[in-house]
Amino acid sequence: MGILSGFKVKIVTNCLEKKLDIDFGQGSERTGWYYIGEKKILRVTLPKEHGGDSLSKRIAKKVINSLRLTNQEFRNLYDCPMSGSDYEQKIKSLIQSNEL
Amino acid sequence: MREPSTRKEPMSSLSDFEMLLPVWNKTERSKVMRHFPDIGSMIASNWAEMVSSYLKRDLEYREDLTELTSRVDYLASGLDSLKKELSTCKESIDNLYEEFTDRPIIKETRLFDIDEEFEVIEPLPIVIEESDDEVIATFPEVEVFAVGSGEAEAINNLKREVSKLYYELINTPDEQLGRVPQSWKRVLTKVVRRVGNT
Repeated sequence: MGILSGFKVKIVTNCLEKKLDIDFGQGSERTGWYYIGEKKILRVTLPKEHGGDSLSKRIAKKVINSLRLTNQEFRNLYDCPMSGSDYEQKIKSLIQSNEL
Repeated sequence: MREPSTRKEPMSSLSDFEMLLPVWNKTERSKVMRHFPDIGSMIASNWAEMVSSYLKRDLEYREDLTELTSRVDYLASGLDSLKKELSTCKESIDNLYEEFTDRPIIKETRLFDIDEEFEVIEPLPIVIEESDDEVIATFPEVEVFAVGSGEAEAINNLKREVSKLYYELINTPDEQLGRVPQSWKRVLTKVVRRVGNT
């Protein structure tokens, strides 16, 4: 099974809501902003899955890209080793290096 | 019964002695001994030669066996390594096959309309990724995508998402937007214009 397989939509949603304080609204495509302070930094979309409770590999890749993470970092975020503050540090360093 | 040889010279080989076996009994022993006075030493010498030859052959067989065993061990370890490589190859082929069969049909197109609230100033370049179970429509420049079970549904959902993003950005002051969302805002305000009441 590849690194992009097996991401459950519910767990991803919970993880992003709890760790990154992203508030996903309701609708056909659920989107939410990642804030640092009062600033909107990144926007994440979690589409309702068609035919399964797991994210397809392509959708997972889009979510990962929108969070500016590598596949492994997203796996760490999903599986728990990466905390919300770890993520914040990573994003801050990307902002500092003008990559975001 | 065959008469023993009358020759006086010592026997040269064991086979000569074996010829005498049929007459080798008590009654004729003296006769034999008379003909072959050194038969005892001949027997001993022949047996020693035989045993030595057997031992030599046994040693050679053992050496051959050791070499054969080491060759078999070498082949077995080579076979194990081949099995591992084969298993890795199989895994790679399976992965490639999975990627190949999962590969979506990708095409590029443009959006000429969002909805009645927007006028499209410049057609929006979008990418459609179509696979067996889903279609994803993406407007890469502003990182918006939407999913549908078919192309039309995905495109309609994308239009909704573009509209939603536009309002989210336009209703947020620039100072509350990071660098990337600010760039999305610039792109969207270049390509679409609000014409509706909202």
